[in-house]
Amino acid sequence: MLGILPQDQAVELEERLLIDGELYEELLIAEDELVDQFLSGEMPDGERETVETHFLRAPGRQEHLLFARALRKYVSTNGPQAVNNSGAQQKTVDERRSWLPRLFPRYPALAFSLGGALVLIIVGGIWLANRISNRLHEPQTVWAIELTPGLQRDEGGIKSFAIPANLDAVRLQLDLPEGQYQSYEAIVLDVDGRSVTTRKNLKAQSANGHQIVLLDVEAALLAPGDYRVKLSGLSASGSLESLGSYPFKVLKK
Amino acid sequence: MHGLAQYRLNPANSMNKNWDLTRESFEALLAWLDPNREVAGQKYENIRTRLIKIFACRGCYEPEDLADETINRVTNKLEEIEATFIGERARYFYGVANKVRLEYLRKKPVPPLPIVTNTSEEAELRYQCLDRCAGKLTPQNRELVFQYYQEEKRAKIEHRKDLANRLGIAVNALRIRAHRIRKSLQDCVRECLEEATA
Repeated sequence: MLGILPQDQAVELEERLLIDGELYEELLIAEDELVDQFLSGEMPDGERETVETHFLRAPGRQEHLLFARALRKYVSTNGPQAVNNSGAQQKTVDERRSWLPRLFPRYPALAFSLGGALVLIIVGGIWLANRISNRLHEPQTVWAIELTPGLQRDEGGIKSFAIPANLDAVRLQLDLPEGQYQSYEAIVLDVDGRSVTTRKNLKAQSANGHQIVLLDVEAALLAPGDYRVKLSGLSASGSLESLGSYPFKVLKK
Repeated sequence: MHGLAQYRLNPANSMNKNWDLTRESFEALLAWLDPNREVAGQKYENIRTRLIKIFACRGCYEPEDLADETINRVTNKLEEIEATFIGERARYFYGVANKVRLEYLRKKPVPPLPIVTNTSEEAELRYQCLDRCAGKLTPQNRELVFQYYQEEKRAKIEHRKDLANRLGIAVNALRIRAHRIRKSLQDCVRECLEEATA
């Protein structure tokens, strides 16, 4: 939003935004919160300048700002605080607002800055926690399945299994063919060739003298049916090379 | 669900004037996105909306035009890729969007910062629209908006925690609920302003 994310992270995030509805909504919420902070004066000068020079450049964002300004006015005019604006209640609000200045009575500017920083840290923390929760969710209960590449249906070797109830994820162990790659990308495809999930930057591991890649797939994503994992290796030159397909079948419980 | 006729065709300000999205090619694009037309339509809307957001996040001044240009180019490439392409279609759009953005940066000078104009008449009209739109909310949602967006700074955080507790939901669920109501309000205000200035 502020154009400060490193290029590689920006690319990863943008690509996920196109396919991850929850992450996209999280971005929209963060935009709301950023605009609200901007209007409330809670934002440090440096960040404020970035909002003005980058965030507000897009025409739609100006509209966003004008709406947020109207909403602030509307809530302050019509909200319960405006209606029940008794002296005692106002005093309570004032007391809550002024706890930092009381801690730093000789340095009101410092108190104000710390207050602003605290708000940013908390809001940023919530934002970060949500993103981490969404993107790096680690399953608690996993079940390992070993897959080998290239087996066709008529060879009778396709791995079939039912997923037990209350399982968080299935750990697919992909036996690697010859050759070493810096990292691997795995795409789980359903029977119609639609992507169920994609994992990038997977690393090879050793297991019983074999090279393998482990791929955790949320159990909720795997309804009964035929699937295959399309595995690609990222070469030193940066190109993705297709390494094979790992078919499997999820049976009804 | 939107009907097919509501999807945007022939963007008015495309970078590439030599090729426009015809109804036939648009049909082909939908078919490529998903065999189910309803699902395909939703995917198309999601991809376009998110491309606009991505271009806006990159500081592009004309995000809608760039998103339409991206969709045009993907549609134009369909004959080449549809037989062999495997995987999430949206990722292909993203690759094309990156090229479109780079071309845009080479061609377009950085525009001057837009001036946010909001005369007192416009502000008043917007406020009246907001009042009207808030009146269309359910009493519960209206109350939630008032509760959620009052207070400032530290008090706001505490207040939202209390509000989430009262509603019996997590703070993050409250954020999402408030955002959805806010978005519906914003969409309603935009339509109201368009009607008023038409």
